[in-house]
Amino acid sequence: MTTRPDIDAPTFSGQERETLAVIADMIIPASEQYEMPGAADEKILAGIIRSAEPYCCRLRPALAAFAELSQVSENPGDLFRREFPEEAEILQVLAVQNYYSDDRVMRSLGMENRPPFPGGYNLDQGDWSLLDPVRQRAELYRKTS
Amino acid sequence: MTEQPVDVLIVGAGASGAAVAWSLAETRMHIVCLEQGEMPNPSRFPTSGRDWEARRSSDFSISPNQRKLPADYPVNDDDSPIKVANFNGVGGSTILYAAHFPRFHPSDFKVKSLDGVADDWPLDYSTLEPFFAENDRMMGVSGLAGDPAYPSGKSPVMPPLPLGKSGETLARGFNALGWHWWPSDIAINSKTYDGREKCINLGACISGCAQGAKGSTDITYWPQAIRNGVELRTNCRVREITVNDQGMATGVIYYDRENREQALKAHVVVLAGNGVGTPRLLLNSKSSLFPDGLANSSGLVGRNLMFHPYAAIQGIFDRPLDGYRGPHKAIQCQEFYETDDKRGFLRGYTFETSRGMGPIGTAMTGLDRGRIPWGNDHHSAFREMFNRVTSLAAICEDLPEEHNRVTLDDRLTDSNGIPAPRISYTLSDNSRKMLDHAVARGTEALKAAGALEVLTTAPIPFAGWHLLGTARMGRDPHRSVVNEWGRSHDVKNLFVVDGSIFVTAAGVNPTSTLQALALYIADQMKRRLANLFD
Repeated sequence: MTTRPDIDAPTFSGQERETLAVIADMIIPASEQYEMPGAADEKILAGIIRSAEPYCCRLRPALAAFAELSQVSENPGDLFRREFPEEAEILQVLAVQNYYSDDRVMRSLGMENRPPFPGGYNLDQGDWSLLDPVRQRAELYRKTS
Repeated sequence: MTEQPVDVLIVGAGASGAAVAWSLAETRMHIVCLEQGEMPNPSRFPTSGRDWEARRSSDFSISPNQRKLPADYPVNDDDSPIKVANFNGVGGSTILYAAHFPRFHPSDFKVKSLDGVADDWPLDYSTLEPFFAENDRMMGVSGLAGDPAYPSGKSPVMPPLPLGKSGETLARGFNALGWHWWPSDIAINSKTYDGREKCINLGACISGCAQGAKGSTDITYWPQAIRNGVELRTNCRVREITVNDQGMATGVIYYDRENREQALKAHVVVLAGNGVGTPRLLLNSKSSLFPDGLANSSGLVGRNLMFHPYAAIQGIFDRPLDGYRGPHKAIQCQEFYETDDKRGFLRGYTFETSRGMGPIGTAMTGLDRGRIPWGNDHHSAFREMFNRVTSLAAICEDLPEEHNRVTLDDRLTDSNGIPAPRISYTLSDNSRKMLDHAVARGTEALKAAGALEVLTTAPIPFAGWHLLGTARMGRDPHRSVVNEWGRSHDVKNLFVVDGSIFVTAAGVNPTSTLQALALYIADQMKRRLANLFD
């Protein structure tokens, strides 16, 4: 995304919200294998819709077209991305941002549900003996005098 | 009431403006710095919140065109494959930089003499050496002495940052190939230093350090400069520099925080607005004496813009690495730094390492590269990447070319009506060959380190962090904008101290050298105070 949204944009209609749910589910569906919700999960979708509202006017024509694409194509997602690449990218970004901030998703990934600060994280010091062969190297830089 | 003239007026409170302000403070001159942005509030930095990753696409984006904060001005970079990155506020780009802090090499000051291209600098590594050391102390640099890629005598003030799993993995790859690597000089505390705590690995250095372990000038130089009497005025956007009939700068016109037009007179004007902001200001300061912009008799203001074309080479491994934890940077490889014309290009590059990404960064990278799909396979593909990616970023030397330039846009303006900068830039053949080489060698290194898959991007489009060359330094007034100690050839009380003065870009991040130059120029000013305008 390369533009900030128009904060005075109107909101999505009921039909548009349903379309957003379909697209969100296409991007990141639920997973039984990993016991994960999908991006169309009620809580996550609410976040996506909220994030998308400033882009409402820009997305509206694409969302309307998607309903038609769904009826003529077995792969409406691929067609949507081809016909509306910028709108698809906006929705992809918003779906990812909201999905990978959800507490359930983060727990499933083994992440703690907290901001990085002030707790921080641990980092291994590492094996500094790996430097030994480099210490044996001759000087690499070019002399100038 | 008209304000009394100040002795020194500095425009810009970033990396170099802060260093100059601090250095000149000991003269007890009346020094004022005007900064168009605010003093950052670390409690509002992204890593204090749950939405830390998402804010990289909004108010903490590196792109002013995406961020659009009140202090930002638009940049027309449509005609450039590399987009400008900056931060407008006290600290400048040090607020959002990763703090990778390598110095130039001695050969970087002698490009013409050694390689027959570009120009030599009017000074050398040994001249800057004491100022490199002073700046390392002020900014707080972690690292390790003894790097065979540098002359002896470089001694960081703190031990190196941890290798972590990512750094260790990459080091094993370099060792398998017999290549150079070394812990990077990084302006991040590896222990408590200068009243700031040791880094606790928040992992989002490029979104501002909420902890204060990263050396940015708002918390390094500025507190001392202000205590020593420098006056820092924020939310003050300079529109133009004024001159008198004798061709001397007399001060500036600026907009204050209430958007009122103000005039501030000064005996000396120092520009520290970066390689886009400084030429923009000079070009916008036209007068009858300077119809092509201030200090531009050479015609070189705005020209010779150098970025560093970057290549990203990302390795996906079969085991957990550091992911989002820890500073972005750890080690660097300069195996291909010095020129070897058998490679098919001149000059060279550094491999920086990039530790890893959080979940949003992982998903976006995978989706953008086609590695993570939409649909049912999203989850398994995501898990193959999450916490399993570490990367090399090749920072390639960009040679100066006059057609690469900053001009004033003829339509786009900022919120004060000041013309926006327009970037015209093309990648050179030398850069393309260098990028290709870096991608190939980087892929080789990651596979030697055990990567199962490698994803590459070259050049990285949103990577115009380093803005250099647009008011270059030199002894010949026909071939340079400022002299060998940063004073304008045309205007004897006007100085430039930021990356604009770079003659060549080297294959390393510029901040260490940029600040050393700023300290050197300030030192020269202090030594020459009695005849500064001669």
